[in-house]
Amino acid sequence: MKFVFAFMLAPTMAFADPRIDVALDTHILPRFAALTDATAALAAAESCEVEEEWNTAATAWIGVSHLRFGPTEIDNRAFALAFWPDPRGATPKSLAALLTDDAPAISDASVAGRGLYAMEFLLFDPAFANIEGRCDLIADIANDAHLTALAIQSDWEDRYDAVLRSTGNEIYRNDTEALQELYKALTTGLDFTSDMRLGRPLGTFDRPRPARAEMRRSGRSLDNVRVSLTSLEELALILAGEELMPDVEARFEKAIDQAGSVASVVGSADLSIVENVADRIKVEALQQRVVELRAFLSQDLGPELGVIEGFNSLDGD
Amino acid sequence: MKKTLLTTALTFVAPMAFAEGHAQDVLNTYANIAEAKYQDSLITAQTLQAAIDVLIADPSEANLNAAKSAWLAARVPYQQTEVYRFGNAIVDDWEGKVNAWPLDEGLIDYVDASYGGPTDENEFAALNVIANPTFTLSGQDVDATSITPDFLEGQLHEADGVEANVATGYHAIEFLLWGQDLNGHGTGAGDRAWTDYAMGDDCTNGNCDRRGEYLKAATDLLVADLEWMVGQWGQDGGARAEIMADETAGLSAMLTGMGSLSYGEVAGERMRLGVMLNDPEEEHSCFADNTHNDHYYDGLGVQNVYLGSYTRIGGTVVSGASMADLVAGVDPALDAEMRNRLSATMRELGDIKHAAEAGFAYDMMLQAGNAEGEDLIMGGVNAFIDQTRSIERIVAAVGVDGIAIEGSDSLDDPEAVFQ
Repeated sequence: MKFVFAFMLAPTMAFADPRIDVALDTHILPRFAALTDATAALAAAESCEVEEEWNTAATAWIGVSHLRFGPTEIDNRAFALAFWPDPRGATPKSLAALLTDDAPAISDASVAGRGLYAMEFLLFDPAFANIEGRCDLIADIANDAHLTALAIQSDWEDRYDAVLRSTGNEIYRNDTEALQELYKALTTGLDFTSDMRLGRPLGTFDRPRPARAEMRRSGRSLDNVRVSLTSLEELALILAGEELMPDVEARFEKAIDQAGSVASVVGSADLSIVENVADRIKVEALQQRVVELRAFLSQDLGPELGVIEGFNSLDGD
Repeated sequence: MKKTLLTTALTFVAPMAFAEGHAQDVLNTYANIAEAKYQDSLITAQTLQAAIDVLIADPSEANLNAAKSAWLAARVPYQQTEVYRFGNAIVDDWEGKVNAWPLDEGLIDYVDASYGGPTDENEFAALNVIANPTFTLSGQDVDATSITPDFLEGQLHEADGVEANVATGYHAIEFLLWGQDLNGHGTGAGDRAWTDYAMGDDCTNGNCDRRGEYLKAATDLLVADLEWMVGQWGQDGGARAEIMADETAGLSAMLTGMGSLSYGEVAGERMRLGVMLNDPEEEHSCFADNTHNDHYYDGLGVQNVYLGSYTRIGGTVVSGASMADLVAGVDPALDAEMRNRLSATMRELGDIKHAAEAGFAYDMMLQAGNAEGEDLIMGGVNAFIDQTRSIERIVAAVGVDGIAIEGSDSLDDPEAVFQ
């Protein structure tokens, strides 16, 4: 009797798809914890020579920058930590306004004046090098960024972990919807890297746009591509079944190798090499690898997971 | 405007349950509503054109106000067509000429000193073509002594490959009618004097003849562009043919348009970004302060496409078999969820519209620390996001288990979707 009862219950009991558990335990939670740690170190720094701490925090951010759902989207936290791209140049304008303010309330300010991308201007742009109030503002923004990172991490641990892990709730009706969220994070991350991190500086052949490269002032533009691909590979391998795994891995390695080949070009760190015809080809090839990888996931991984492509924030203009 | 549909590529598999017939009817309604909406957009744009002809021939405050009223009326049907973007390549390729936004208006006419000059992103942000009949563009000498639709469309629009160089469409006309809104987060829209179109010594801010010439050219171009799009949705039109050619692709286009407009475009680019940046310029109709209506009629367009019923500007109803019927046939609870969420969105957008019409303008809502304004706008954002989740569920629900989702043309070959 007891046995039959258990047997009857089994189909309706919710056991998380193991891939969701693994994604949470080995990808999402540790990477957001790393972001909190890195921003804590940045906020704790006692001088405004924080280039190294900033660099570690930026690396941690890029590694989670594809996880744009749930806790990152509450109160626009992710935007407050990382506002980019900024086609209208709102970041230097917001910083200029904050610098004239004696006691700026960073957490109420425009997202363009907050977070790691705003800090990059203060740390690396010559226009801000000797400006009055720079040091105080660096410390204020670092504190605000840390609080934001902490809020994201706490929200994941206290709330959203359970939402994603134990589906059958208002947000995820079932595991398929949770897997779709993860799949969408993966594909949107790849789209962002090819369209924004690479596509923006590439511009067109006749009109390259090196000034539009992500974090070009600190020379992180190319490294961000590599860091994002590495993190996305981690997620892709969690989602891929045994059969797809070798192929997924091979394709990611191909793209990451190409990033390495670009890195061997002198002066490639800020991707300004898009202006040299000979070097530009290597960057275009890198973008092509990412586009192929994206198409492959769409054709093979999506159906394997039984998910649709879905909509994302890049769908607009 | 972005020319690829990279991330929008919904793939879609028509269920066997409601084979042929019904999907054809749904698509037919969809195309009929498109035709009616573009016809209404054309009719109201022609009214605008007539009002602008009167303004230029006989400049006066009353005639400027009449042109502004006509512009506002023209936006009502046009915004409801935006749900046809993203899914339909013919619409998407064309849309940038008609409704491009945001714009660096200094390209077109004089601006306030606070606007600044050329930027890193745009060397021509302050070109002021109305004051400069000749200039150099990307190393080429440009002759703009005569401002014609061809010049605006062919040379000035998206000059130097910069999207913010918007030379044509509703928002260029809006700027020429209202001027910059220099009130920041305070009360009031752009306040261009009618004398900017006056002749002889009454002319203010110089070059009134060229300003009138520009306004006329932009409006004529808008009318011509809308005429072309009406034809695309006629019985023999290309956009209709594309939709009717393949049921799966047609239904996918419908849902792609609904979801992409709701989420990435309106909730993201147009609403949330403004709240986050607290920038009074980050509103879709920043000169006329008509943004509450832009969002409202975008939302209404999504709802009436789903329900398969559009009430024309003259009151006639165009309706027929709908996506709602189709979803109800597969999963009635999901249809109810979708209807509820569309209604919820319209209530939220209605709240923004009502507050704005009662004096709490959209740019006031965007001010840093204005909690009520932020709540109003974020209510709309969240409702759009919620309805997008339901659209995703519809895409999944009307698909058939076990049939592989196909790769998308737009991913494999970004150019293919526009062929």
